[in-house]
Amino acid sequence: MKSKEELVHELKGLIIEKLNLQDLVPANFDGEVPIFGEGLGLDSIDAIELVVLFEKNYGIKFQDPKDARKVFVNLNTMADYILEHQK
Amino acid sequence: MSEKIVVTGMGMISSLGVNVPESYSALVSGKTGFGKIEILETAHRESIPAFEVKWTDAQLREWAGVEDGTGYTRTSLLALIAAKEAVQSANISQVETAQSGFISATTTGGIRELEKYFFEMKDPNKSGTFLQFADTGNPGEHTERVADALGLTKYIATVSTACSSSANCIMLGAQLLKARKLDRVIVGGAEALSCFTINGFLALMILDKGHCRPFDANRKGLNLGEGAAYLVLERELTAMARGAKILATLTGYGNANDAFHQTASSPDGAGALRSMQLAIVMSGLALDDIDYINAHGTATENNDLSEGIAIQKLFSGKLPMVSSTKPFTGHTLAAAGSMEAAISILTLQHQVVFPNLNFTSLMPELNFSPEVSLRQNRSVKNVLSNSFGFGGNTSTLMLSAH
Amino acid sequence: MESKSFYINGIGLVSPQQTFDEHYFLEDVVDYQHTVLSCITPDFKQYIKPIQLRRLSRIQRMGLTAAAIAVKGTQPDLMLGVVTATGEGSSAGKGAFISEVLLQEEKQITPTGFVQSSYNNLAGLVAMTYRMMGYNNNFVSGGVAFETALQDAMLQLIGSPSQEILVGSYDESHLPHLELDNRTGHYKREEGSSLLLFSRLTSGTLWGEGACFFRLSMQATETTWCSLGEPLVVYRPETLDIVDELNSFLVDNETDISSIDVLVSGASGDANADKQILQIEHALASVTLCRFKHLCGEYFTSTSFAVWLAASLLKRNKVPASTCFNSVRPAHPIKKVLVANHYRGRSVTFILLKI
Repeated sequence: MKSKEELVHELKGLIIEKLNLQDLVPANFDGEVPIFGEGLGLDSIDAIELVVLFEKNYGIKFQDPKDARKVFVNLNTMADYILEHQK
Repeated sequence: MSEKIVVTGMGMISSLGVNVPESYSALVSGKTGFGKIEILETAHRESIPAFEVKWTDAQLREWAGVEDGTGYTRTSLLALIAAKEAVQSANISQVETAQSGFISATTTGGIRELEKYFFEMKDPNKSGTFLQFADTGNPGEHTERVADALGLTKYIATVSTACSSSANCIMLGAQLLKARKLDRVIVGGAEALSCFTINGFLALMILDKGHCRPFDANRKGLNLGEGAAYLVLERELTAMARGAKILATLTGYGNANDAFHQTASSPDGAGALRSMQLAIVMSGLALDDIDYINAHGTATENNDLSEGIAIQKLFSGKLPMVSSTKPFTGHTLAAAGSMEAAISILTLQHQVVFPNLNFTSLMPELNFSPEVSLRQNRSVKNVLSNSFGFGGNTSTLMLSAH
Repeated sequence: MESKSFYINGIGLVSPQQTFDEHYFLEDVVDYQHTVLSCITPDFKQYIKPIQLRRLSRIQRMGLTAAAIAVKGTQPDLMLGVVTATGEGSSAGKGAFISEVLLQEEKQITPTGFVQSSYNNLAGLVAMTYRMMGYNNNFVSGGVAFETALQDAMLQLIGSPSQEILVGSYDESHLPHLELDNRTGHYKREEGSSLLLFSRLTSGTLWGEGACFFRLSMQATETTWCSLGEPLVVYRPETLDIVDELNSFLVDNETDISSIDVLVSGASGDANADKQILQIEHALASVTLCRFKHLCGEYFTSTSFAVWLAASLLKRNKVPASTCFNSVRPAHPIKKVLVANHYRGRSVTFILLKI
């Protein structure tokens, strides 16, 4: 089982790669930076890309995209959710 | 001088039936085309319902009078069957047909066959009967195919603006008639179900795994459908001169863009409001004159909110009857605009409003409910029909009793 | 029927030559050795915001860049709207999405490829980028997609003659799909110089691509390049006498063959498909002949490249040597240019441009 710090680091890399954020990531992209809205400025399609990323990489399925939005607040909330739900 | 544009023919094939009379009897008896996917080969047959035309390609070829092995895609077959019915109902001669323009819409065209034979097609060492589909993958192909079958050469165009496509065909046809570029035009759209669209909409997480519930607070998304529908449009004087039976008048139309998001409508319904206003202004009608709105009503969270808000803003208080007929036909994408125009014409002809099935609870954001049961013997003179699509496209037609 | 006049007030073109650069006019042209020609692209960051750029496919970037060049210095939100055209849309995006669906057996599919391959995504993208809430349409009419978009844009202008409208096209070539797209033998199978396209005796043509936008109006402005008449599309030309069709088109445009200064011909180097276009070249043998498909390849919406070339000839009053295919010296100044294009011999298009 990975530690939370390892997960945050891993998620950061995966998100940057999957969502083509290479040139856009703020220098302070840490566990607390909001993923949507003011933070990285991601939108609903990114949210769905993240849903698939969760399923492919962590075996976690969301039935309703609305549930996923509650998890995709920032890297910390995402890592916590994975630690809680990964088997 | 602007002249009235009238509808003198229509044809339709969908999960409801193979022609307009079958579609009408299904609609009026509350019989829908909803069910399990049985014809398309997909991994989602058990989990994703749809509104499928329950005829195999071989059966459709028979209906259309087309030989096997001639490269007719399912989209082309659906298009040809509906276009032939439209021409027949307009009662125009072969020569008059040949002089007509043809404007068709699709979002996928021959993608169903392309995806089926994708790897064979890519491997130059493979050959076989699939090669009849080597050149049918582009969306304009079905239009040329039907034009060739009906002998049309005068003006041929294909429109693709996602789910509003065939409404835009109807608008363009009317404009070409008004500009006297054509005397008669066949307009509409065709769409076959494909793994491409099913998986695309599934990936966007906007497919309901049950029967769709437009404008319901607990709506879960749309159901896909397939089919085709075409109208024959003429200038009123041309139609009257040949003693044509006039089915309805196209009194107005509007096209706008929401300019908000590639796959989502704005929460304030700006684009939808604008296209409805444009159609009403062109028609010269007052808000009070509008008896019924055949809504786009896909049952996605986003569309119904945006469209509902726009309707509410436009009519502020005194609303006409509203229903989405997508629980009958499914969302037939590019064919939805012309199919719902045909359904709106049935409403005008028979003075009956088809219900918005599966509605139980009011959306918290809206103060109106759609019609939940069949409304018969209503005076319906003017109908607004909405069609909105990805890319922010919003289109509205106004159809009126002649 | 008398043909109305329209004006081209701005053009942006991304093509397999350096055409995005407004100072460039086909002086040094690239010679491709392969059947597939790809666009030379600028640094997209100069035209598109980074946050938007990251979600866009290559063809969307090219399209949006062409639009950005065409609307430079204007207020697009005040325009009448945008009409686009494409034959195949994003063929790379569509192919990638179909592959993903098939290879993953319809599991764990992501939506980006699906959204990118919606045929009208560029019309939506341009509207969204420039807040253009007006008219929005997209044509996918095969080899006449651009022509039908142009006709629609002109119809809209007739309804609102004081405004400008944006009309554009895009299509992409894609090496991994060459076999898929070449099942019918439309493209050449051997390697060879693209610039020598017309001396190669094999069948088929080159697979090209391009993204192009035009700003049109019914009144000349300070930035007007030239005027543009309504296109005539002859569908299924094999059943007709194409020179008769040309002559009646010229009559509608109140001109004749002797008044044409340059013919921009869409000969594609494929003898079977070129039959009608070579008859037209022959009928205009006393006119300066320009060809262009050795520079941009063949694609559904190649008429947009032809219109850019014709408008550039008029604006610059110069015929680049790379486009010249006979020894007739061009008139000075160049006043009338006829575009005659075709797509796989299934349709022939005529468009007249004038200063």
